[in-house]
Amino acid sequence: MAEARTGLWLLAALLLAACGGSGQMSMPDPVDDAQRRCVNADPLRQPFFGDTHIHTRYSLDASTQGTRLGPFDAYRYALGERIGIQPYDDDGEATRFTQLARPLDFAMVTDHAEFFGEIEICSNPEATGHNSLECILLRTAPDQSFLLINALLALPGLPAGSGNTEVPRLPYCGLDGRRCREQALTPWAEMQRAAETFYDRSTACSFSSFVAYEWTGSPGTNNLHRNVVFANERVPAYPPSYIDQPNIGELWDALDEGCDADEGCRWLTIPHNSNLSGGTMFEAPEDGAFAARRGQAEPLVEVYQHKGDSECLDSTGAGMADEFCGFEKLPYNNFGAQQLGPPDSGSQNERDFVRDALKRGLGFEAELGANPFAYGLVGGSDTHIAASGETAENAYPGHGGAGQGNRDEVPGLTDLIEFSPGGLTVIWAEQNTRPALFDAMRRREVYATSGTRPIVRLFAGSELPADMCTADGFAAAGYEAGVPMGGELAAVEGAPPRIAVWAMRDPGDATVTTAQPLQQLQIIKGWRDADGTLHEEVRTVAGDPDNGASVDTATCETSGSGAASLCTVWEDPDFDPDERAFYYARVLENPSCRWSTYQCNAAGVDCDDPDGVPEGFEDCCNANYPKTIQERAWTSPVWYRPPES
Amino acid sequence: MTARALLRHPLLHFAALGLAVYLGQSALQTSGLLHSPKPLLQLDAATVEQLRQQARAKSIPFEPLLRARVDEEVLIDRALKRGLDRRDPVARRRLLQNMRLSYPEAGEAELLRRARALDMPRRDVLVRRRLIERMQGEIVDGSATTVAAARAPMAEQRQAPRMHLTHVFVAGRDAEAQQRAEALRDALAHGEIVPDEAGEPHLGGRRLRDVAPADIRRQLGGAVADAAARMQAGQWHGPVGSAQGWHLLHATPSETAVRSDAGWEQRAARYLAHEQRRRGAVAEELAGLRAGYTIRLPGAQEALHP
Repeated sequence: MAEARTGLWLLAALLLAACGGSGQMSMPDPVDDAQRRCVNADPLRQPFFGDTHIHTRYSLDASTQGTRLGPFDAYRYALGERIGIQPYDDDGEATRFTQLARPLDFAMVTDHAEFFGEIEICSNPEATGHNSLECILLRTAPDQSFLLINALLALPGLPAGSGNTEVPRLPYCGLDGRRCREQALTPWAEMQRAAETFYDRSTACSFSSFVAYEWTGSPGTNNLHRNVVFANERVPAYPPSYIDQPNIGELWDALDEGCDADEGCRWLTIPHNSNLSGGTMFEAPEDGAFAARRGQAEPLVEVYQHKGDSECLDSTGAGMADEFCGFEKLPYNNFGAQQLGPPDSGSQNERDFVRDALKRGLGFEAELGANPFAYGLVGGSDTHIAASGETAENAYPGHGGAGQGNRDEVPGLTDLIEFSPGGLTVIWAEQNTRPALFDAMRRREVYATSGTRPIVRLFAGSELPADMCTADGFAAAGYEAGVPMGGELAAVEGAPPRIAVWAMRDPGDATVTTAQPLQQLQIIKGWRDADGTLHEEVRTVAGDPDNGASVDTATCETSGSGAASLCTVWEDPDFDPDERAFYYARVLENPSCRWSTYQCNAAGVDCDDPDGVPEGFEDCCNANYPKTIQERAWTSPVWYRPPES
Repeated sequence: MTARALLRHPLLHFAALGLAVYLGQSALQTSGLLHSPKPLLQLDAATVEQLRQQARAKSIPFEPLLRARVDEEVLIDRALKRGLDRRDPVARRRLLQNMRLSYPEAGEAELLRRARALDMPRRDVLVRRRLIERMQGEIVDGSATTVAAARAPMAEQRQAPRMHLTHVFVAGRDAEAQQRAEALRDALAHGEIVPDEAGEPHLGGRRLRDVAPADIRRQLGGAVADAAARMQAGQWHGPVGSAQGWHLLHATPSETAVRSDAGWEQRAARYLAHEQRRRGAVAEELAGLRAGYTIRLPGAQEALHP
């Protein structure tokens, strides 16, 4: 193994050197970057908007659906450039074009690491194995190949010669998969080169990119996927994939092993699509050590993206009555059910949703001494066409997740009806640099949105001033007397915690005309009582749930009142200092048209005349899916731990 | 050869006739009578009025909106001349879908002919958008990139003027809030009140130091960023209306220089050259295409020329 790793390091170094040319890719020093001070730095921190989940042609399920754009294009797009996307005509020209109305501040390309080498061999005529049967199949029948090759990811790990477990590779990868592992270094090097190229290292600090990838474990077709994010350009020579490391503990070991901490390499993993995990994403940790390791390795969870919402299901449990959990839910609970039909799926399970995991995390902390599920919340697009951060409902090109849609599917709805444009991550940091953003992700000072750009701040503390909303210096007071979102409350005897939360609506602009006012601000509390029973409560603390806001779905015109700003300092009246608890805020906007409604209206679909519905627009009349969406933001929680614990 | 014989010589007749034809043709060409007329491109009065209303509703200038619409019509006309409504797979499929409902027995060629006769490529929203995008795509190479070009938007941000912005926010979107904002602006301008005591708190803050337009857009929204980019330093401006409320703005230029990183200058120069070529080519191409038409815009002819 050690020899193999040395070989991969050497190959990686050669590839990076070759890509950079003339020494342009000489490795910058992470320490210098950490010391860089941006001209617009703000010690009280600023919100930076970005996408933590982007796929390009290096992902198998993107490549087999016709995505030709790579990491460079994904970053160009994030910065506001117009890109051409599939389908391509006979001359190889893109026939559709897309452009962000508002550029992003940061982005990370997270291609699936599993088949980097396999795809490279099949798309590079010079590579050995290019004319293998598998590659011929991949090139001529991409849809079938997608299912066939992806089926490998549904296998559990099997004992390998090295003593570890591995998932079998395709025959053209050669003995022990070495050929594919070596070829994987080419896309991995290009992903690093693209990230480096677009990272603004001047003191303008206009854009940050991160080296990242996705570990794509789906045993039994249950989604256990994680995005792996590196703090800087010091990354492992080879990205450990599910094929190499088919369980999550092995992944973390491999990252520790491949990532030289002395050189400044740091990483974290972000689980996503727990809604598709068939009850397996948040399984109980085997012991306290594993709970602590999980808590340390993955401080964040993706609560919303292209393939639905994972906040809460509201299907089981005493006292749970949260109507707003009914938001962008998928009708199946794993990938197998997606392919075979919802009847083949088990019913959706509260265990797959983040709020339940947050509650259970309190229990594990009490029982095992460590909370494995103390998650901050992020959102992503999970685009598979390199359209980073394209989350606008009225400009949705389709993200083609799970290998479907988007090659031959237009005209017609640009994506499967159950999917959506996905969300964004907002990071509160002093400045837009990798070290500042990564530190903020580590301390969970982040929030997720369903794609719009409200600005939301939350602080918690027993001694927060009650007049924070009316006085100047909200942030200064919050940092001085409390902790920001993602933090842990210090207990103050006899004083219940106050939660100060302020949301301002997405201001929109001349090109973003669909932004809506705010409807209400809610605090979600979860706690564990003395008997070990888990509870949750949702309270509207500002705004008006009955403000009469509505949408004319025939025209997408909105009406009714709403707030430009909602702010409150809320004190928990039921606080018990002996009970572990968490609090997070959810900000709801007034309703607006869902992406499918914009497209159905543009196509002139009339559901009263079923014969007249154009091909590809049949789902416009599918009553199982809403015509409107209530865009929202979710802050990371703050946690309270009783003093004796 | 006598003069008479010379006058009867066929070669002389040929030359004289040739000269006469040449002179006649030149005269006709100079007069313009021989020119084939430029194709007419006309927006109807209702469309022009619709654009005016759209501009008013969004508080944006009418002329660029009208010119953009003319450019769209030019691009669609060029697309139709090149038969893209028949050749583009997406446009073709959509038109066939539309027409087959009315003529289930007709062949594809007949359906496409009828679609054109009904002006469907212009009228169907999806086909129209597709044809415009195809033509734009041929002018702008949206897929090619180089490492140098890749840093394009960052180059603009690095060079963007920075300012220290003082921001006073007045909550509310109604006339009363606007009047309150106007009164505050006057009081600020006359020094009767200091910014820190004026208006209401805003999450974006009161003082933004060394900010570029992108920073302002992110924290205060596009309307404020656009206004800040246009205003004079050292004076109070506004109220600028946004979806959040009213904003009063005061800027002083920033003296802080952006410090570049190694290798940036070379990449930026290459990028700028690439972008200028690309953007110049688009404007030039569209101007050339427009010049090939006689354009009539009822009640707005003057708006065509910036």
